[in-house]
Amino acid sequence: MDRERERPVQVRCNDLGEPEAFVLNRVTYGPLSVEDAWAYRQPWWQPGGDGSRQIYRVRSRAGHLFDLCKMPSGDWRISRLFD
Amino acid sequence: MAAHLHVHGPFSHLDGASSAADLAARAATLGHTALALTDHNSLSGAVVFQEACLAVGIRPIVGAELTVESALGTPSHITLLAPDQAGYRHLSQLISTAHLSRPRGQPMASQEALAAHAPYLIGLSGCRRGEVAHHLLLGHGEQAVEAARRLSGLFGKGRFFLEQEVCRLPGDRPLQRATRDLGQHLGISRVATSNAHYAVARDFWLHDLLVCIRTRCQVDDLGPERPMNDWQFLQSAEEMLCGLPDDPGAVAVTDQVAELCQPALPDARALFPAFALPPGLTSAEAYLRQLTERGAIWRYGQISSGLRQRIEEELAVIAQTNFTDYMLVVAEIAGWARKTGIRTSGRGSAADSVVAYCLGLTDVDAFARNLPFARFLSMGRTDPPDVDLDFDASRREEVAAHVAARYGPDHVAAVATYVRLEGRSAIREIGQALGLPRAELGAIARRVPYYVGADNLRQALVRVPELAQLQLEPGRMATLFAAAERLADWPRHLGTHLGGLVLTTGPVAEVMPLQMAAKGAVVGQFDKRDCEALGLIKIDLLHLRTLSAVDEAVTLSGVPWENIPSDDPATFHRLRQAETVGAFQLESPAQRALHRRMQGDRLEDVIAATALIRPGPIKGDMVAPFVRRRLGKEPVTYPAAGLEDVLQRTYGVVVYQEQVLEIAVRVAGFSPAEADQLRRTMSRARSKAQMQALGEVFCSRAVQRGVDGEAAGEIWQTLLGYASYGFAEGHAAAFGLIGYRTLYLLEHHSAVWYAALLNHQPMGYYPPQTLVTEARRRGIGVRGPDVNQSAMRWTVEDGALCCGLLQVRGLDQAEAERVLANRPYRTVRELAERTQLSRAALQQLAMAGALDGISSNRRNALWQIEGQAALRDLPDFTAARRLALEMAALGLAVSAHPLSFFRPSLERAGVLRTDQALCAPHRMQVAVAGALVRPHRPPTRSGERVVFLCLEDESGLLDVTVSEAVYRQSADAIFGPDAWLLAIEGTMREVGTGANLDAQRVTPLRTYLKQVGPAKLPLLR
Repeated sequence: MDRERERPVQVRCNDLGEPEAFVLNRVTYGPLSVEDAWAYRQPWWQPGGDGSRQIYRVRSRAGHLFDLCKMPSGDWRISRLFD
Repeated sequence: MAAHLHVHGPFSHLDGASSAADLAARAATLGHTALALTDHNSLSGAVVFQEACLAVGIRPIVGAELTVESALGTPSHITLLAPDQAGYRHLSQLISTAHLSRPRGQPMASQEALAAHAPYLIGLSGCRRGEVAHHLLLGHGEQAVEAARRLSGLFGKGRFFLEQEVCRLPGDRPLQRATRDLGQHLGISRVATSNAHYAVARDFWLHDLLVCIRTRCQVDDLGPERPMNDWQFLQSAEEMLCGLPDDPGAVAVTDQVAELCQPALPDARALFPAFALPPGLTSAEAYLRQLTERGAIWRYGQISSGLRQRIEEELAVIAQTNFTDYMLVVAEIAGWARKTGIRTSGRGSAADSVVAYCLGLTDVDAFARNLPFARFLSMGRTDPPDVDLDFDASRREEVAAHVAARYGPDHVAAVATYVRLEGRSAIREIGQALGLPRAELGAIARRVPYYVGADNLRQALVRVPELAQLQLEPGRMATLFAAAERLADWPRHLGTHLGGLVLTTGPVAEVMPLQMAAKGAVVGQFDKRDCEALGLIKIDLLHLRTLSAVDEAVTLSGVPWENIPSDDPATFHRLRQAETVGAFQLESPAQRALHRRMQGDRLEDVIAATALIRPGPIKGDMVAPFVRRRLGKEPVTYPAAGLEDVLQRTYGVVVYQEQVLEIAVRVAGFSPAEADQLRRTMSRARSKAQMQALGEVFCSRAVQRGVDGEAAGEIWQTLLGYASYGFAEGHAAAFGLIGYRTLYLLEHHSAVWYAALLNHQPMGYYPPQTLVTEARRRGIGVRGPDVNQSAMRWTVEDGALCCGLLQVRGLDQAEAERVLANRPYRTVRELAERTQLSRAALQQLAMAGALDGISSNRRNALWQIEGQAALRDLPDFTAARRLALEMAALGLAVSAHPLSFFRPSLERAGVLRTDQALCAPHRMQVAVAGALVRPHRPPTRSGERVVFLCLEDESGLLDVTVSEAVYRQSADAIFGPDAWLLAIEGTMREVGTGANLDAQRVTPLRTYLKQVGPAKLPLLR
C-alpha cells in the first residue's frame, strides 16, 4: 500500500467520537478497531497555535494499521499508513 | 460522578499551573464531591487546598506523589492518599523521611520506609513513572505482576489501586488494556486519573511554560519532560470515559476511593507541649502566677492593688485562652538566654502585657503606659498571641539549639517561608523560557522596583519612569505579561522563616513534613499562615544584628546598657540636630526630617517618632498635626468626647494600633476581640468595598450607642486614615528604647559604636560607606587594613576606626587567622610564604592597601605577588586608580571619598559640597554632587511618586526630594543599573533646624561635568 501523508479523508465516528470507518480513494475501510489514541497540542506560542490534533491508530478489518488525525478544524486526515 | 485523585498544584514547584482555588472551583463545577491534592513529595499546599475545597463545598483529600527508590534504574513515583488523621501522620512522616534521608532537593523514600507507612495509607500505582506502569510499558509482564502484588501487599486489601491514566498519550490504550488485564488477574481494582497539572485545558500553556522554566529550556526547544498535549486537566466523567473505553469501570472507582478518605489535616491547637514544671508544682497556671509575681517584685519593688488587678486580669485571660504553657515556654527561653549572656529584647504586641514585662520578655512597662492587654490577647480571639523575641544575631542559633535540646530535636522545626515569583524574577524566568534575549531581560529586571509584583508588570512598564524610558513595545512582551499575571506569587522554592519555630508534643514530622533548607536547618513545609490556620503555635526567635552591635559596643565601652539615662541632654541634642546615622530606627531620612521638625526632648518623643514614620500614620496625615501640636502651634483636639485619655499622649492624633482598638471599643462598643479583628482587617484590607463595609458596621454600632451619625462618620474617617501598616505602642516603645540607647552610644562612644556597626553588616539603613563617611565627618580617623596591624574585625585604636582584615573581600576567616598568626611581615614574599595565601587573596590584600606597610606601593605589591622581584622605580597607580582598586577589594573607600577626586572640577563648576549646601539660605538655587545613597519611593499621602534619596560626599549627607516630574526625566540616573555619582541641581528648603534639597535636575556626575565644561575626570569604576 502506498504511503499517504496528510491526505484528507472522510471518517465516520462512533458515540465516543472515535473513528469506526473511513473512505479513501473511494474505498471504505471499516469497521476499524482503535489500537491507540493520543493528542498532540500545537505550539501555543506560535501564531495559529490554538487547538490540538487527535490521532487514532486504527486497524482495518484487513489488518492494516492507519493513523487517522483529527485536525483542530474538525477535518480528518490520514497522517501515516502502514503496510 | 468522578473524583480526581492525582492532582498537582503550585507546590509541585513548577509542575502545577492552577491555584488550589481554581482546582477546587473546577471540581465543584464538574459536580464532584471530593478532590485530592498530590504534589510531588510535599504537603505544602494542603492547608490552603483544604480551605479552598471547603469554601466550595467539596471534600479535600490530602495526598502526595512520592518519589520512591526502585530497581528500575530511576526512582519511581507512587500516589498516596491519607484516609484519615492517622494516615496523615504517616504520610507526613514518610515525606519527611524521603527528604531528610537524602541530599537536599533529591527526596526519595526507601522501600522500607514505604512499607512501614503504607498500611495507614491509600496507594495508587502512579503515573507512567510508577513501577507497575513502567514494567507494563516495557512489556515486562512478570515484573509488573510482581510489583503490583508487592505494593498491594504493602497497603492491604482494598487500599491499593492500579492507576488508569487518561492523558491521551501515545501508548495510553495498550497501557490501559494491560493495566486492566493485570488488575483482573490479581483482583486489584483500577482507578482512573488524569494526573492533572491544571484545572482546565486552556491553562495547558502555563504548565508547559513552568516545565520550561523548571527544565531550563525554551519554548522552541524539545524537552523530554514537556507535556505533549493539553489533557492533564480536571476532566469530566464523560471525558474520562471517552479516554478509557477499555476499562470504563475505573472512572466509577474514583468515587469509591474518595469515600475512603476523610479530611485529614490535624487540629494542631492541642499540640503545643505542656511546660515541664519544677518538682513539687502541678499547675502551670500556679507556676506562671509565681513567676509573674516574682517578676513584678523585680520590676516594681512592690505590687500595688492596681498592678495586682491588672496582673490578675491578664493571667485569667491567658489561662482561659490556654496560653499558659506558651507563656512559660517563651519565658524559659528568654530567661535561659539572659542567664547564658545572650542579649535579648522582646517586641511586638507582647509589649502590651504586664505579665510579659514581669517575665522579662519585654522591657516595656505596659502598666505604667496603660497599654491595653487586648492588643496582645483577649477572650474570643482565636489567633495565638505574638511574642517576638529578638536575640543577638550572632548567637541566635544557640537559642534555637537550646530549644531543640530542651524539647527534643524531633519536636521542634523551623517554619517555612516560600520564595515566590515576583516582578523581577518573573521577567527573568518567564522571559528566558520564552526565548527573549537575556541582555534585554536583565536590563528590564534591574529596573523593576522590588515592590512590583509579577501581576503588575504591564502597568509598571508604563508607570515606573525608569521602565518607561526603555520604551519597550508591549506587544513583544504580551505573553510574558500574561504568564506573569497568572503566576504572580507562585511558590518558587522553600526558605526558612526568619525566626519562627513550632514546638509540638509529639514528633513534629507527624504534623507537617520536614525537609532540609539551604542553610542546613530542618524546616517544616507549612509557612506562617498555614501554621496559624492549623492552630500550630509559632514562637518567634528572631535575630537582631543591632543587639549584636550593642553587645560588642557595651562590652568595649563599659556602658551599662540597661541603666543608660533616659534624659541625656547631649543625646537629645544629637536627636534634634538629626545627626542620627547609625542609631537604630532613628536614622532614615524621614526620621531625621521628623526630628528636625519635632525637636524632641524626651523618650516619649522617640517612641512616637518610631511609630509615626510608618505607612499608616503617613498616609493618614498624622505626622504634620502631631508635630504642630507637639510644638504648641495647633490646639489639641479629640475626635470624640471621652477619648482624651486614649489620645492624650499623642496630642489627639491616632498614632498607635492600641488607640484604634480603644476607639472601636469606646465609640462603637466593639468587644476587644472584635476591635482587634477590625485592626487586622484595616491593616490588610485592599479594596474600597471592604473598607466601606467595615465603616458601615462601625458607624451603625456607634449610632446604636448614641453617637451622632455625622460624628461617627468623622471618627471613622480618622481611623480610615490609619488603615495601613502602623506600630503597636508597645512595639514602638520597645524599639524606641533601643533606638534612644543606640543614639546614646553614638553620642558618647561614637568610634566604638561605628566599629560595632561595621562588624555586623548588613544592618541599618545605610551602607558601610556612609557609616565610614559619617565617622570621618565627626572627626574620627579611619585607617585602612594592614597585615601587620589590623585585627580580624573593625576596631578602635587611639580613637580611630581601624579596618579589619575580614573586610577584605575574598579573604576568609581561616586565611585572616593565618595572617594574624604569622606576623610580623617585612616583605610581600614573607607574607606569601608564611601564610600560604592564594594569589587571589594576596591580590585583594594589595588592592585594599593592606600591604602598604611592606611594599613601596600597591602596584609593586601586585607585581611581587606575581612572583617577580620588587622593582625599585615602579611608579604606583594614580590616586584615583588606587581608590578604585580599594573599593573593589573592600566594598568601600577607606582612604578617601570618591567625590574628593572630582572636587577640583566641581569647584570650577560651582558645585557645592553637601555641608555648604546645608548652610545655604532657604530657597537658594544650588548644585550639589555626591554618591547616591538609598533612593526609595515610599507611599506618600498624595499618592504622587516622590523619590527620596541621600547624596553623600566627603563632607556628609544631604537629603534630597525628587518630585514625580523630575523623577520621570531622570529615572535611569537614580534607579538605573549604573546609578552612582550624581550632580543634582535644585532649591534648598529649610526643614526644622536642617535643610533639604528639592531636585530640579538629576544628572550622572560625569555627564554633568562634561556639560558644564571640559574636564579630565577620574575613572573610579
